[in-house]
Formats: sequence, structure tokens, C-alpha cells
Amino acid sequence: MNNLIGLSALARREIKRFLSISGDTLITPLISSLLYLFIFGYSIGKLVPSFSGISYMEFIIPGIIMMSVIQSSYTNTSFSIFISKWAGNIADLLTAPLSYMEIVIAITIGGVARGLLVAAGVYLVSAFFAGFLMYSFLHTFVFLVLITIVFSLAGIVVAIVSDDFEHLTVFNAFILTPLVFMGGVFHPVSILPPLFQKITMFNPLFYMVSGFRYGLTGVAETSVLSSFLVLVAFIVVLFATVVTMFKRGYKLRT
Amino acid sequence: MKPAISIQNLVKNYDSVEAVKGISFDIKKGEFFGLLGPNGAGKTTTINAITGLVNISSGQVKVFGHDVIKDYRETRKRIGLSQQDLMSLDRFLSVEGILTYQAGYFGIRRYEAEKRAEELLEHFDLTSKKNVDIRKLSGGMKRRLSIAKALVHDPDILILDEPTAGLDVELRVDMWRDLRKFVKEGKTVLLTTHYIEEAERLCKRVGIIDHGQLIELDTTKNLVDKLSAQRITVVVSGTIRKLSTPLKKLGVSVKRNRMRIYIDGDYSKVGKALYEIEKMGLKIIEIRTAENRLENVFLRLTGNE
Repeated sequence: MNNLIGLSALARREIKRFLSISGDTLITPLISSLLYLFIFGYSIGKLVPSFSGISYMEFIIPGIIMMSVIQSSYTNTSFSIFISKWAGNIADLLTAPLSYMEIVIAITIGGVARGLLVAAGVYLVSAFFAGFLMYSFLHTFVFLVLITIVFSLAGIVVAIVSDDFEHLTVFNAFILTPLVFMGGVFHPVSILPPLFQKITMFNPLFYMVSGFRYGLTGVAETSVLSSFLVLVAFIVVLFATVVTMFKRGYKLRT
Repeated sequence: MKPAISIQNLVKNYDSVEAVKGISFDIKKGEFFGLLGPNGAGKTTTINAITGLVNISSGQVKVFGHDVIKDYRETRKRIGLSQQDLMSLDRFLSVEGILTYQAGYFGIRRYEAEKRAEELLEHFDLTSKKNVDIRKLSGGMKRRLSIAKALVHDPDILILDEPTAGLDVELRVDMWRDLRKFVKEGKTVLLTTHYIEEAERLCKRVGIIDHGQLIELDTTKNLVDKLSAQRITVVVSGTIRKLSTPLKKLGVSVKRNRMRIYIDGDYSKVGKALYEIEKMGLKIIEIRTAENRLENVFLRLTGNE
């Protein structure tokens, strides 16, 4: 990487973009998380037995933080790239002496930054319900960063492929949300029938939620190493895909 | 010395449409070069091929000897681009932010970028608007900002796609002065414009593109002289229904009661044409002459006259 100043400028631009509309980008996920915690954790949670020694509220807090983080990282990069494509200012990046790798890293930094800020906010909100959960800060932080990278990269892929705004929401509604909900955010996978347990093993979100939950509570539904490896594999594949798309100019150059 | 821009057999296809059909030309360092052509002729596609905004179908484009695909970072460093579409300015940034971030993308440190932005805002009379949302700028202001943005990293080549569209006369003249100064500093300018007068005043050489082909390339002066676009318009009483064969052979064109005689360096054509007109029994009521202008050359070459 030769143009670190350029990379830093683009990353700052990405962060400035979501901070300039912080009501939408930072406050909204906090309110949604607060509602989830109140309805599922506080109200319904009283009726649900504990799991592996932790209360239902403690069980769902990592999942709800994950949901907000995934949505925030994905939305940040997908909207940024899609609006740039739509308005035409993607040309600023395509005509600048930035390598394609530098462009992808800078945009991803924007998504990671928004994901981390939202995570911190939801974590603080969740403290009102169950105190400050923390089993291993290192595990929590590593999983958080890796997950924000995965969904920032996924957001870029979807934005490049999309021809209109509808495509962004279609991916969110039909792929991302079902995977998040089926990935063990609100329920332990072990309570599902055997067939659904097997199907869940193919859901990458299950590994991500489980790894992050381990960091906060010390409870995981699958090995932490396999969760880590799934995340790394996704990052490698998505990063290579996005850099190749930029290099070829797929749906970016005419 | 390597040309500032070298285009060899450039082809660009959009699905089944051949937008640029194998054009080749060089632009020398320090040259003021104009690319003219009607809408959809392939001017913007050519510019986009140089700057990396289109995938080239075949051919090669080099900037100071560097291939724009293989050595894209090197070529992009040397080019400043002002696009025709003013919607493409980053809507999430202020006027000043557009300049400082753009400088950043080109590897200029923040302090230096802010200094450079301040100078350009002052020069383009935008200082009072530096914190304004770009959506609140007038078309003329956006145009000036777009050109300032192209200049912010001090490029060797300035590519301007319709740079004075939407500017009033005073601002246009200011812009011409700036561009001349830029070329005097040894920099290169590639300009597309609809204002042919602009190309005639500024450009040392002009290329005319039509239907994706380079149909003429020469110095502005030679182009006008060579094609000798000087013409005479003969107005007759009554409508001309059909031209006689000798008049057709002389290349005379007709519109209602007007006939145009293109001199093309052969002044005897005038006498012959007038003789033939008289022979047709038409009464000449007026004879007008037109100066050699690039506009006439352009209109004749693109068949739009």
C-alpha cells in the first residue's frame, strides 16, 4: 500500500458521512435494541429458564448487540457505495491514485467504526438490564471487529451488484435478517429439533453469534476456534471478491 | 519527449453499440487540445477511457508513457478531471470538504490540503461558501468548485468536460484566463466544449469526433484554413424547387430561397455558380459572405449544417 494518506482520507470521509447523519446511523439502532431488550429480555425473559448457567437476558444481550452491529456495518458500506454509484461521486475514487485494495480497506474501516460505536452504545444500554457483561475482553473485541469486517465487506458486494435501492433491502430482508434470526440470537440452538440443529450448522451467523457470546458470557454453542475460522474464511473470500470487483470495474465502470 | 496523452486504436462498445471506433491521437505536453463533436459523438467516453471511468474494449491509452490500466496509479496522479455532470459532487461534504478530501485521496497531507483548498476557494470566489452544503450552490458555483477540485492536487494534465457550461460570460472569460495561465506553466489541457468559440480562442489543436470516429485533427488555424469554410449565400426571389446539375456539381446547397456556395479555395466557383443561377432564370436579391470560423468547419464536417 503506497497511498496511506489517501486511504486515511477516504476512511475519514466514510466516518464523517455516518456521523453527519448520526440520528439515523447511531441513535436508531440504540432505540431498536432497547425495545428488543425490554420485550424479549425483560418481559418474556422472565418466563424462559436459564441456559448453561446464564439468564435468558444475559443470553440474548450478545445476540442483540450482534444484530445491531451487523445491520450497522452492512448498511454503512452498502449505502455509502450505492449512493456514490447513483450520484456519480464514485468517480472520485475511480480516478484517484488509490489502489483497489486501499479503497476497499478504507470503506471497510468506515463500516467497522460505525459497528463498533453502535456496539458500545447497545452494550451501555444493555447494562441497565443485566449489568456490564464481560467474560473476556480480548475475545469480545476480536469477534466484534471480525464480524464488522465481514458485514462491511458484504455491504460493499451487495451495493456493487445492486442496480437500485430495492436490491439493498431485498438482501437485507430475505437473506441477512433470516440468517440473523436463525443463528441463535434469541434461542439456544440446542432446543431446536435435530434436523434444524443440523441446518443451523450451515448458518455462518450461528458461529459469529456464538463466538461473540463466549466473549461476553463465557458460554458458547460451538467451539470458539471454529467460530474464529469461519469468520476469517468469510473475510478472505469477501475481501478477494470486492477487490476483484473494483479491479474489473464490475458495475462501477461503464 | 513522450506525449502527455497517447490514444491508439481506442474502441469502446456498450453492448451492441460501438461508442468509440478505433480512434488514435496524441496530445503533446503543454498543449491546449480541444475535442469537439455533437452530443453522443464519443467525447466523454474518450475522456473516461483516459481517466479510468470506462472499461476499454480494445486499444491502448497512455499518459506520459504509462498505460492507464497497468500503471493506473501513476497515470491518475497526473490527471485532474472536471466532469460534465455536477450531480457527481460528494453530497455528504461541504464545499471545503470536497477539496480537502479530494486532495487527501491524491496523497496530500491534511495541513497542505487545507492550505491548497483555501487558496482555490479564494481564487474561485467560493470562500464565503466554504461551509455550505453543496446542494445549496448555484450551477455556476458548482462548476467552479468542480474545476477547483480538478486542480487541488496540482495535476500535469487537466481534463475538462464542458467546463464553462452554465457559467455567465464574465466567469467564462475568467476561466479562459485561468486555463491559459495553466498551459503557460507547461501543463496540458484537454477540453471538450459545446462553445466552439471557446475552442477556437483557447485550443492550439482540435480533434473533431463524430459517431465515435475522429474525422479531423489539426491545429485550429490549419483546420479552418484547410477546409476553407468560407462560403457565400445567394438569396434569390422565389423558392428554388430543384438545383440544376452544374450547380449540384459545384457543391451548392439549397434551403428555401437561399443557396450556399462553398469556396473551398477555388474562387472561380463563385462566378460559375452565379452564371448557373442566372441561367435558371432566378433573380438574385442579395449576396452574403461568411467568415472562416471553426463553427462552420465543425458543422460541415459533422453534416449538421
